[in-house]
Amino acid sequence: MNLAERDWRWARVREQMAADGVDALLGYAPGWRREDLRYLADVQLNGSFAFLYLPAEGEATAFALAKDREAFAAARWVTDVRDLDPSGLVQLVGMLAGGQRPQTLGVSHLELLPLGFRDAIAASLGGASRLVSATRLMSAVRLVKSGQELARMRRCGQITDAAWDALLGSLRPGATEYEVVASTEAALKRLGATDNFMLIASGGADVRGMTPPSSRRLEPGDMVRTELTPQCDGYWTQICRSAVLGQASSAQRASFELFSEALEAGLAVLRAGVTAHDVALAENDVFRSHGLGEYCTAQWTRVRGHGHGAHLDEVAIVEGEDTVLEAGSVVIVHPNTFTPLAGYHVLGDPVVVTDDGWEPLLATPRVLFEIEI
Amino acid sequence: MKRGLVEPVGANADVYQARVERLRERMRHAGVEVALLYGDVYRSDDIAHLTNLCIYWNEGVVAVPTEGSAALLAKLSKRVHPWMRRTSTLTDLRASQQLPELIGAYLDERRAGQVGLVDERWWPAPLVDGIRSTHSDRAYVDMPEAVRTERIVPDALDRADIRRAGALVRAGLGAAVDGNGTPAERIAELEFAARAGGARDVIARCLPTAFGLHVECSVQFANVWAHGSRMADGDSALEAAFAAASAALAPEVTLAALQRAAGDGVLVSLISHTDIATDGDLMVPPNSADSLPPGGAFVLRVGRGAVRLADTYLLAGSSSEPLTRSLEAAA
Repeated sequence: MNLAERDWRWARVREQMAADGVDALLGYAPGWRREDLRYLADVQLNGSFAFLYLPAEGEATAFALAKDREAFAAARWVTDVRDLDPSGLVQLVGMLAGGQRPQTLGVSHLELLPLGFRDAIAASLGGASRLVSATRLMSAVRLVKSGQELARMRRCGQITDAAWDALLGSLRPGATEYEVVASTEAALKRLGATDNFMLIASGGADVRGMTPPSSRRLEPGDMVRTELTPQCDGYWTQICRSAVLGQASSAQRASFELFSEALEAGLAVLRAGVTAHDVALAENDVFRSHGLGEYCTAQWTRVRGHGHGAHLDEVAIVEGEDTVLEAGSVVIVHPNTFTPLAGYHVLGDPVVVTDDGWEPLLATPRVLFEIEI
Repeated sequence: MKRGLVEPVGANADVYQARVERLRERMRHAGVEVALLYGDVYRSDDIAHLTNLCIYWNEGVVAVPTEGSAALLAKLSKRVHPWMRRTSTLTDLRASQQLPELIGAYLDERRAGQVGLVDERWWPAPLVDGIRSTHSDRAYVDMPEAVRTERIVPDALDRADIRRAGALVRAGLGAAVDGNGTPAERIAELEFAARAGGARDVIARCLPTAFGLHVECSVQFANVWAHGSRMADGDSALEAAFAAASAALAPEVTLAALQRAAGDGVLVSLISHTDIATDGDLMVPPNSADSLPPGGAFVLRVGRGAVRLADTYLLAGSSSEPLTRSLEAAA
């Protein structure tokens, strides 16, 4: 990605900082939430933590473990990269203490910032500065994707389609769940994916949700459900599908019809300007119309979809979430939940929100797959 | 993100109970009524060690009282509680989006006494603030490395599982190094070999360097990890240095002695198996004069710039057992 892309992103961040009264931003990337530094510096990190300081004006400064410094050099978005010393954050606190201290320092993922780090940073700023969370600030900025981000997500979508095909190819009676995951993982890594988030479940109507794989062996008639989420070049796309070993039963078909109706209802209302609530409401109303509304509650399901991008689980598509989905946002709509029809069922596609609707990121048909055995 | 095999505790419930009892000994010694452990999807091996719980997403806290059963206090949805009960020793599972309040409610049920925060330095600061402010009548004490210290010398179950993890690293590296493919194709072979063998988690990288293709691999089997790295194209000088260091590796040896054995021009480092998941990022660098504990499991790394060779060893008797390469290759 080029420097024009960097400048576009930093301008968006700074605009939001000004709106939120944040004088400087400290992006924090713990090992499992690296999306803000991916956005700010276009780096693929490996370390357990890294920081990036972005003042209201001027250049950014990154603080990284030795293993990640090469990544910053390769991206070339941030040239001032300093050592990160986990025992005391010496260089970071030295810069904060020695420069013009921001009155309000916004820290993304402040909620995850370790006590030792927070205390060192707060001490360096002195009593006149305050730390505030910039997690929502960064989430709001990242919601709308640039053309270059969407290009990466489309590429990731192609790998996601191929990974689903690989999963289908691995389904056979006698295969264990973890062997299916192994085959899928190998396929998506072969195509260049850098990471993956995946849950799976197999069996009948008693399946209540998806988890990491077990050593359960697949049987004829099983429905295999998966949420498969490769990451490519720092961006994630997810597919949710279900497949039956053999011919689907009438109950499994009825379940699919319900979920297909709900998914299409969610997609039908999706366009720039609607809220996450609107999409969730459309999905849930389908369940309610079939007398299955209780299965849209937190007892049975988490969300009715969510945003995608540099993090795989961005804005939640749930009733009550008033985030406006702007053109360029990417969300997956998935009415995944348990019902008594055929147990837990998953079906969902990620799409790019446009002014008059949406564009798909996947080519895999939205059908109930049947595996010949 | 963990997406590999998670198996139930099975016949090993007594092992997990014994581990909890060792923590309780420390708690009694420190005058602690309840110990709290924080974990997330990136770093939760202490929690897994005590309970076999796999935090595959998000974050959570495990509370261990001096009496009674341990409890999970987490933002994770109640929907996954049945799976957690099936695969861990935990029976008391509680969920709320307001974690400080959830922890506070748990503490309210316990008798008065000090609360121990295991590795408090690494807890999210707002969570610690929230707990302390909602229950300011309690005394809080840090319990640094209270579980990690117990894990450094693995018990019988962990020893067996580290050997399994080592075998999966060996298989994965073999698949990656022996092939002729692109880095992505080599990683694919590695991932399949490890995951189809039952790995819970795999972290693998294949990077072109000025000295050739560098492959490194960390594998978690059950709750323990092994690590290894290779040069696909060989590097005879580095291999000679590594061989010299590994030959000197034994219980009671020091890092300084290993560095002397490897010679100048290379850097020797050691990582306890307890720190493989985080690649040693959180550990206090060992003193070069500290001796290695008998029975411990360690990654030996010998590097030159960005290139390094590594294997995991179990220190047993008067020697070391290589876990991530064959005995023939190690010789």
